[in-house]
Amino acid sequence: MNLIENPTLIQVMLPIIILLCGAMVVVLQSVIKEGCRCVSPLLSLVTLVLALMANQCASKHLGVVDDGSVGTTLLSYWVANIGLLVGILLVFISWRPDGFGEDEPGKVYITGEFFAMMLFSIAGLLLVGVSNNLIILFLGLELVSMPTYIMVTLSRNVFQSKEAGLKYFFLGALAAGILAYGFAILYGITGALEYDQIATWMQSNTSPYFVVPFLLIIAGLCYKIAALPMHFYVGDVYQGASSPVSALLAFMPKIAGFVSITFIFNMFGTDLFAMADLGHYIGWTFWILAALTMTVGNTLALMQTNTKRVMAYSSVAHTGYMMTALLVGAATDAILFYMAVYAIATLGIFGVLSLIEKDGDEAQQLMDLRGLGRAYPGLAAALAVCVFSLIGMPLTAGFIGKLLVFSALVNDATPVPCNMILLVIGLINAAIGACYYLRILKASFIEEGDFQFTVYNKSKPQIIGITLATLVTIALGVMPTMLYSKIETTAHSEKSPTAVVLFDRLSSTD
Amino acid sequence: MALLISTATFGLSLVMLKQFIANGVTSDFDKALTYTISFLPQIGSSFTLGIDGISLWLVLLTNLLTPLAIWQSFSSIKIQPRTYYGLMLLMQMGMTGVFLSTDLLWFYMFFEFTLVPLFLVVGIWGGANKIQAAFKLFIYTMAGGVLTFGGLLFIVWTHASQTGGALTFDIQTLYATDFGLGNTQIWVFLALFAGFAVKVPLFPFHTWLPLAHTEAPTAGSVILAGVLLKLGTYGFLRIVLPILPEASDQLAPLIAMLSLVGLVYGALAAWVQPDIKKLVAYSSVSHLGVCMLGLFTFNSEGLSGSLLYMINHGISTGALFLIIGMVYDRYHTRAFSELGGLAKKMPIMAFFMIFFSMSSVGLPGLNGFISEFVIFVATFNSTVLGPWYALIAVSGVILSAIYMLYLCQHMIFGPFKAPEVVHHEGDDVLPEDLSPREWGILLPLAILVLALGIYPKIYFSTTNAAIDQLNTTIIVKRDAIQEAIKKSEATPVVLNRNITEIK
Repeated sequence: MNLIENPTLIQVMLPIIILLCGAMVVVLQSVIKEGCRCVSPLLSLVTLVLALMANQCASKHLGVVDDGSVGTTLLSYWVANIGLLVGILLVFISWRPDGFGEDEPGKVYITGEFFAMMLFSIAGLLLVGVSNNLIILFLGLELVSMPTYIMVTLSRNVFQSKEAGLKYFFLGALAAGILAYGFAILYGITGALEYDQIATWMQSNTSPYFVVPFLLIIAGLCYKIAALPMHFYVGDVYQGASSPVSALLAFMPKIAGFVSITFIFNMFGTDLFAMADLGHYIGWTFWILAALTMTVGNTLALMQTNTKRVMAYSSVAHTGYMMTALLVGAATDAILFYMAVYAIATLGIFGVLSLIEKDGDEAQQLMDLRGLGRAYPGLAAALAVCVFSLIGMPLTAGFIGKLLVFSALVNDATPVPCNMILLVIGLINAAIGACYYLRILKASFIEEGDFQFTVYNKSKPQIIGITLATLVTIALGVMPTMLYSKIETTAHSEKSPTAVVLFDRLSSTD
Repeated sequence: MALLISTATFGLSLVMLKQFIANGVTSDFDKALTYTISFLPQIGSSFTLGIDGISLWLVLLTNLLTPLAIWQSFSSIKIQPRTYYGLMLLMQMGMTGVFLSTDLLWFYMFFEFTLVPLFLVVGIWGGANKIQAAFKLFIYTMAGGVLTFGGLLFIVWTHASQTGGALTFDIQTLYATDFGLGNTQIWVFLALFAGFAVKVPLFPFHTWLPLAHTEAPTAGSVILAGVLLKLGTYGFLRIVLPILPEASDQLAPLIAMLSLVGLVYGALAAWVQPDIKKLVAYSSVSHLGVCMLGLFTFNSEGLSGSLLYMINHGISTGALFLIIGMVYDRYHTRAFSELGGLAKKMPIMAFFMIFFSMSSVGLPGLNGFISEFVIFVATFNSTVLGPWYALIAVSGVILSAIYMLYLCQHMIFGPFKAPEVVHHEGDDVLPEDLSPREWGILLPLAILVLALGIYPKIYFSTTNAAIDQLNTTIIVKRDAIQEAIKKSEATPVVLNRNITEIK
């Protein structure tokens, strides 16, 4: 770790540059060579691996670039790692070597543009991670979202996906506008763009209008993470997009949003609730939002009959769990772990869903899964493992994720008021979550009836992807230190103003 | 194949028993038999297994019942057998893990994990109402379980803040957690109570049980009644009582009342069931009321009797479900109205049925009597409960005799009545009476029933040390807290017992 000299721009941005170049190459080749379906995914894989390697080098120089725009921290390093690794898994899940004909109406097809957009989106995620001022943050967030608008619209050849894309785009543009306005007001009040400078300003000054930008920023970011009250789009968008795109939506904007909120909350100093008035106000707003998000997400999911809508609203609920960890402030490692685990399990489920063909399109209704357990036991077993992970059953990674998030709440050193009440709300919601997740399993294993659709099981990379997702879920459930002991260092990062460490041996008592 | 693995596990557990006895029956977790791998050191949890006198018999019970249940399934599970046996083995792993864990997190993990194979077993191979049964048991148990999880986390963090931040999930270490003199203990107790009480099941949280027992396949019912219910009582014994003795002391009368209500209610409900399996299911509710009563007597006879009761109930109710399963395999009905006088055609089955019914009732000479008697004496002598509780509990014996004899009378004696057996293609043709495999399954259980009934020393000698130590821990801690409460008269503390004693 070289702290003496600041890293140069190239060192910090190298993985992002690789991703952007790779994305452009993929776009170009998909225009030039339409026939071969393997080149895009392969190129994407190569790009992701190269970016991963570059990221390792970038982590050797922690610090902020001289002009203060970007900087590498342990947080950015790990966000990049997780983003790239999940991206690799995503490439596997979306890779259909034999593909469909593009002309046939209603057929699902994944083209070169998909992979290019995915690479752009991941580049945006990395940019959010390394950002050190508000402009770069905004740029990164937009870079994450814009390609997803395109991906949703193009993903299926049916009207539903166009409708979903349009809804997503308009609401997303609105949220981006709110976010930009919030950033602008923040700059106007504090006169600074960089996180450290804003934090310093906030320590010593205050302003009666200070609540406004923070509320706007949180509102805009809540759209990204699909939290209340900006969660309304998820149902239609997840349903309208094809499964690999939904899987990407469940991960990319969310983690970008969470990292952004982490940056924003870090500006309040070590203790969100300690800062008088403002911190208290923002903190309580977020507390209520977290509780409501979990509850509303779970309630809405209970009413769905479409698997993808169930996943959509359950993603709202999972956002709620992670929001409680955000309140704690120093639980960044818990959030990263939970996010990684959630992404992998979601990828597994959407991967299985994308393999089932119904009338040239995807099978989406819960009842369509009837008989899967008897017809394709391997796939159904993978589905079961991923679903149990999302419920939070022990011996899967999902349990560890929930354990870490809820432990962060219980920790005496946390500043969250009424944390026990939030904990109980979270626990009860976890139990409610089991209800609708079990419906997926009920449909696949318990319902009588034969499986009516075909499963496209010649797609080796997708099978590999699903298998990998399942194995990692179980592995992380039994040996979480593989990932967690490494992420833990994020909280110790010196660059982040947050000094409270989750598992610091504090001697404070109630 | 699964039978081999399962039996091998049982063999291993017998080896463990020998090793345990050979090392001298100590009260601590036998150091030579512990096994630790680091799991999640950041939060102080490690994968630690250990055995002491209390866990020993429960592990043996688990590893005895599962191979027998698997063996019995050979004749009743026709669809997707490999998945089924895989799930049964997973369940065995989960249950053994619960009893062997000395780390609180792993205890909870195995505790919840058993729900996964249970849900699938009941849901896929169950009876007519299997979906509702599977959902209800999963959601109900998990809902309680997550509250327990919250309570466990709170215990660990309270302990950590008292020991200067050293996080540990080790159960023995957590015994020393001090919750202060206020109502925190009560809240934590209620949180833990939520999960364990649903599992036991304690009235009024028992509604999932009759449904689950009835709709589960035979082996599922055997495992459920035989072992899974003991997870709840074991949780009370191992975790709730030692860590929260004062709250247990205060709430003991309440819990004893609930147990007694469950005892009487379960017995009366069992008496009127038209379905044999549901009758035995309600009898489980009733019997475990006695078990819970024993746990809250706060003397070591109570704890010892309660543990023995767990074992006995596992054996006898497990055997009863096995027999009912064997009858079902032949006649495909469980209704009283359709079965009767089976002794004429199935004398061996009749013999075993009466034998295990008597064991369940508590006939002297069989195992049930020993455990019930010890619990009654303990309740009578208890400082927390008292003679009145014992009185009501003893009446439960009469009630259990009523419904058990009712069951035997209608099912075994009387005019012969059975539905026409329609042989489908591919069915095993079962002999009229029990085949050698079937009474081979029941024989080990019968031997154990007799052995524990006539020579209970084999149980008491191995468990007394551990029980005494546990009891001492509980009583000492409780007395210490009560002393501290008395000393803090200046600060008003809202504890009912305290106020009467200060006066």
